[in-house]
Amino acid sequence: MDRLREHTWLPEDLNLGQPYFFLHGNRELYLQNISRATHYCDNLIKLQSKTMNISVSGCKLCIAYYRGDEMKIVGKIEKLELSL
Amino acid sequence: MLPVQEGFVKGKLILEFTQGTDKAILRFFTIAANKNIVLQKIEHKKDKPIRFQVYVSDFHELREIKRKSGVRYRIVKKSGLPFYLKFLRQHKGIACGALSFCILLYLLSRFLWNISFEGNSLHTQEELRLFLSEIKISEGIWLRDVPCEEIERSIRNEYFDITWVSAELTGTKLTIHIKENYDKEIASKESQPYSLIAEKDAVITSIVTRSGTPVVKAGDIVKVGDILVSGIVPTKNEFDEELAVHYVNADADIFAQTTYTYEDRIPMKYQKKVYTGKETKSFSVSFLQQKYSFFKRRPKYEQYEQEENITQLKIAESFYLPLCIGTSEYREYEYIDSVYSKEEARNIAELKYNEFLSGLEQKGVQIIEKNGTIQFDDSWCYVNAAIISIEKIGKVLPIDEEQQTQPIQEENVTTQ
Repeated sequence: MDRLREHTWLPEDLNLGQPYFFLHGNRELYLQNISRATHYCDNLIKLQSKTMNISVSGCKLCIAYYRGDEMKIVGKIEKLELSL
Repeated sequence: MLPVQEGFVKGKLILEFTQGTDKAILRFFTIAANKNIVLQKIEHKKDKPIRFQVYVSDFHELREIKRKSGVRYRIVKKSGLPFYLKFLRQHKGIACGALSFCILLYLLSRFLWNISFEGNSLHTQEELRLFLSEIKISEGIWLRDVPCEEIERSIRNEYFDITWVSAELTGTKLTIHIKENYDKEIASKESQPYSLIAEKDAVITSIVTRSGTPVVKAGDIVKVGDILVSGIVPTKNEFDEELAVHYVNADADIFAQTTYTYEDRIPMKYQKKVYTGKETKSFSVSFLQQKYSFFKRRPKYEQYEQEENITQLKIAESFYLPLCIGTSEYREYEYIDSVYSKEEARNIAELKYNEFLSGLEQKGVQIIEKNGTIQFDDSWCYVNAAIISIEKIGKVLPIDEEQQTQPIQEENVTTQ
């Protein structure tokens, strides 16, 4: 996909299957392309996308909304870990 | 629509899981999210079950997902418009009451409930209010029947000393702004030519003539009735012979030095009003100009003073209602014979004297010198003062037909 993008000048954000993160300070995290949640408690949320696992840790974490493949996490975010 | 408004209109349910493992709950969320059901505010506080929020329209679809994932939940809270409407259907009285209130408020907003005046000092509010009632403008009329331009025209025509009027209608309040003229009455009879005469004895300090023939100059001493600027303007030829006579409205700025004599006497003995401390209160409500009193006890005092405070209710700054709440206080007093001390009498005399002076200044009189004395005897305090001032003089005197046939005659004025 990356090679096809290079040769055809496709835009970089056309990453099919890759999750999107939009972090606003350490209070809000907006994610896209999420498959499912694997763990949820108020200080650790584990998510899975097609290509990687995402781990969000902090305190007083709350899922503001979850719909389709979009999710918004609010609270005091201390760590964001990505693993393949 | 904003999310908050959308949630209110669609209706929200807060659900709490009562049964199910963490894995089952997360499976529930995943299936619901994949079915495009919006799950909001998913919270998992310590030692408490997981809660989440969902729209009412999506709640029915959760049943199948609940069965598939093997969880159980209960409704903790319901909020939003669908539940309010259900509540109102069950309590029709409240709905009718609220609707009636809104209709009544709307109807009340179509009438005029308050009239106020600003800028008036020569004419009292009651006098102006009475005049308005004569032209059928009063509280309780339809707002569409309030013709602001006609009100302005009527007031200007009725009162010559009101130079500017503006009627402003906002909400249920009519505010009439007035500007009064303290200057002498001039130019009110434009249909007839007139001269300017002195209305008091004075010494002319300056005269600037715009129209007419000036008869006096700076330094002249004039008496009451002397012509200052004549409305008769003769046209003369090179041989100083009168060819024609024109009659005009004399117009000039004439300033003169005048003297005011102030005399007053204040009795040293007087009856002092002393309150005994006994008082009674009552309350009243008036609606559509009908007054109803509550807790009114007729005071059994020989002499008493009544103070009434009435407040008209309003919703906003200009949205007055035809409802007034008032309180009345009755305070008993008695008269005791007293004597002013010299200091007290002097203070009263000075207060009255200063009020007189400020009244003159308000009329545009410029005070340049004032000399006053205060004298006492056993019974009275006498105040005498001479105030020298500079003010504008000139009173209109119409030129009648008889005068119009006579030639101009210069007055025998004394100069300084």
